[in-house]
Amino acid sequence: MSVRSAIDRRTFLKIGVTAAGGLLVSFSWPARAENGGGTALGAFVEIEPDGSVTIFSPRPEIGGGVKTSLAMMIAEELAVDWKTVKVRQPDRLDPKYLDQFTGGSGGVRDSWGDLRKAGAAARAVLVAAAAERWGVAASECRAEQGAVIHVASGRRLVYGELVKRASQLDLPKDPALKDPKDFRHVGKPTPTVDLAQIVTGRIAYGLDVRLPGMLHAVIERSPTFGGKVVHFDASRALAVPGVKKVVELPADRFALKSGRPIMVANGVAVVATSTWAAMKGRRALDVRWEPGPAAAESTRTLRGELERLTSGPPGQVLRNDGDVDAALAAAAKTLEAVYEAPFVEASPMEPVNCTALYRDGVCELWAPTQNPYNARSFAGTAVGLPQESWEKSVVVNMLRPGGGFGRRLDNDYVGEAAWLAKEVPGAPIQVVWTRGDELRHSLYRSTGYHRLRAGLDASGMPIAWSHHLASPSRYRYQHGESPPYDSEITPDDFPAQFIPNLRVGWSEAQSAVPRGYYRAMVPGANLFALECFLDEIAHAAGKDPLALRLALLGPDRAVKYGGYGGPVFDTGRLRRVLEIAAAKGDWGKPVRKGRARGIAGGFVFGSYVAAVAEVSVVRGGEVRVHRIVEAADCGTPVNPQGIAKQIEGGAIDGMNLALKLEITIDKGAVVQKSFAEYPLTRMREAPQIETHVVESAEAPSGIGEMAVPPAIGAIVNAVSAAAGKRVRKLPIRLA
Amino acid sequence: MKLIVNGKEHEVMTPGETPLLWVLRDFLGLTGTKYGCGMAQCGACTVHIDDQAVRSCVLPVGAVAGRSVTTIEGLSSAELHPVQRAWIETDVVQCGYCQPGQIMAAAALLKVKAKPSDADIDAALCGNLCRCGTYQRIRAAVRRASEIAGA
Repeated sequence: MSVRSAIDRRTFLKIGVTAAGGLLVSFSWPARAENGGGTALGAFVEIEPDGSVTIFSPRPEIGGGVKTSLAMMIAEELAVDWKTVKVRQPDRLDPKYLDQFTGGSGGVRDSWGDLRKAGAAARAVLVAAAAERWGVAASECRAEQGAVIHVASGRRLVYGELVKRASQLDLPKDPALKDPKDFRHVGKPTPTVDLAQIVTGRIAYGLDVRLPGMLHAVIERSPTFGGKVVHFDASRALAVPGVKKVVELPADRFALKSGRPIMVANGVAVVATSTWAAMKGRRALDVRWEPGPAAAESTRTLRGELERLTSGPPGQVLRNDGDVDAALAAAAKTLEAVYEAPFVEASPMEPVNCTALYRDGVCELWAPTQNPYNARSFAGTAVGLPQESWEKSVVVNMLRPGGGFGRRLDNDYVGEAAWLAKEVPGAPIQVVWTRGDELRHSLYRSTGYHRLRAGLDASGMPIAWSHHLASPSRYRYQHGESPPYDSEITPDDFPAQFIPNLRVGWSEAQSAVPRGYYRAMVPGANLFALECFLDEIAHAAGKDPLALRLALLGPDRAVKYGGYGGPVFDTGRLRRVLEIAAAKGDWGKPVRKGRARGIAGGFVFGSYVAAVAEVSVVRGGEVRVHRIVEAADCGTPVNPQGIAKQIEGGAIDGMNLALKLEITIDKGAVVQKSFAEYPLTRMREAPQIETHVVESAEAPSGIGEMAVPPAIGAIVNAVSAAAGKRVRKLPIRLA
Repeated sequence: MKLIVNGKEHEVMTPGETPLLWVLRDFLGLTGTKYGCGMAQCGACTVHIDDQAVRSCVLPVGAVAGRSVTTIEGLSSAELHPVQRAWIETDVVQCGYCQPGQIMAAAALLKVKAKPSDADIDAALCGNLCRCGTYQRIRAAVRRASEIAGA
């Protein structure tokens, strides 16, 4: 499920000299396919003669903590005092910074080898320079806290004294990495960098860009997906003081050449000298729309289609073990259930936005994006600059995004801003999306309709399992027919491989709704269905839901996992987090009157996670979540504090998805216009959240999304127990 | 009209109906106050008017002429405000976008209630959304800020 094209992962370390005569350690890095080829240098470590150390943390920080954790990895191998290190993120998109991308929970996982190597290589030449100065063997020296020490004599040289000579030495091809038992930073709870800047309001997010002569724009987009402007009258808008220009944006203008286009709506942009004037001008617009063919679509019609599709055989069979139909026919007991997840929108706190300047054949962007190479492609395509020139003709300045949640993987909003900038050459233009724009004109995590059937043997163990998902797929929407997947379903997810007769199928539904990402997109929608149906099976068989899972998992062993986060799924690691969550979450113990607990677990993007939720249902059907306990094994915990924060936030997002969020469609348009209709979890609803991170020496795996899916499953299972009736549709509505 | 922001007087030329948020952000360059919804539903734009927390996205600037406006940039002077210090100690922040609003709401609460209960905190900060879900740490940080301020 990687959202990127394959990258050649061979790296070569390079040494260089900083402007002040210091040491610079970088990579030679075969550039990404999207940037037109070529090789460039990447720079991660700078040590100046005055001893100051700067670490460049290359990936965009969207709130998941990569800026801190990646820098910790480099600092660890470099053997410097964390408190004295300056951590920076690149100001611009530049191939020398390796892989400026954050997504798929890959920030730490995909940098674990390379960035430690950069730190270790720098340490190696510093040690070599000191050893040479002392006339001793490098093996007699060690580095710590920004200095090299000759162990026998106790002599000590700080890095600043060594950088000049070190920068003339050859970097080792394969520098020795530290033994994990010697780690001083990795594994230590570390507060996020930039806290002081953030709490004083001094850090610049995308919307905070202010440039001389800057214009502001908002766009009135077609209310229906794929609708067209028939006629517009700009005269009243142009009469608003501050409004400079009103211009129509053509639809689909910025479609990438490869794959299917990402829809960019036909709209009318109002350009003004201030945000408020642009908003006021927009309200004064008079636009007549042709709704287009999508006007026939609604949540109700699509649901009918999904129901119809799952009543027949699946369009694609992704897995077919044993003989499911025969096993179902022979089963002592059978169960059938339908689980449903709606369209949802990521809605980061900072709505998407982009500032662009077009001048003399160069497009400069100030983009809060988690996927800047893709942003460059969108902008370059939108303004019609040849791809070979993008490295110079499309400049991407990196701004801190106010949250991502998947919305900032797609760069439709960057394309729009770039196109508009060309309409006002020489003036920077900031395109602002209102919250209503964000909710109504986004790319949405797909809805899904899961028809599940199970056959149990006389002992109550499932021997047959059939899972048929119908959905309009994100992958079909953006990648056409191309792999890695067509659908929002993966064939190896538990309980696949643990039930002898098991079928996984998918049917494609047509929908005009643009599909994009959401935090833990695939498992968020699917794991809930699997984990809740398992719960249902356990109850039908009179078994404890935890015991049933453990019995299915069987003895600890590694099995094949072809999906994202594979290639291996270790049953022992899932068992362990299930047991920890159960023990810490008081699973099986008496619960206060009126409350109930639910449990769920899963393998999410390479990490193993389990949750126990404790809920009650109050009068009127309102659900209260009192406590969520999550246990996670995400390999070596690089920053345990950062991981705890991601679990805490993921549990809240699990509440959002279980209890709150739903995008509905009426006459081809999104119904929800504000947080009143798209309500996120608020402070008074926030439960007590406890996190338990397993100590591990395995390579680190993803942390940003893992906590969401088991939280959903645990909450839904708890609500089913508390309400005394099975809940199968998200978001939960009991009334 | 005359506007007093963070103790400094400004003369702004804009219709009185313009929301204070956009005056701060577009005319005065004070971008620490955030836009999140424009409908007083998320609290990202929270500032103080005469020590009270208000949503600047729906507040016409004409209504605050001559009154004292404090934004996140003006919350502390030489030393960080106890709420800001507590936010750092508690490592509250994820993306951080809503935090200026949360901090302003928390500071206004502590002004009227030096030792708030969890129910007081929930009530005072219920209008401030955090998409990253940092609520548990915000609650702990408000309690910590109360300790710092009382020490």
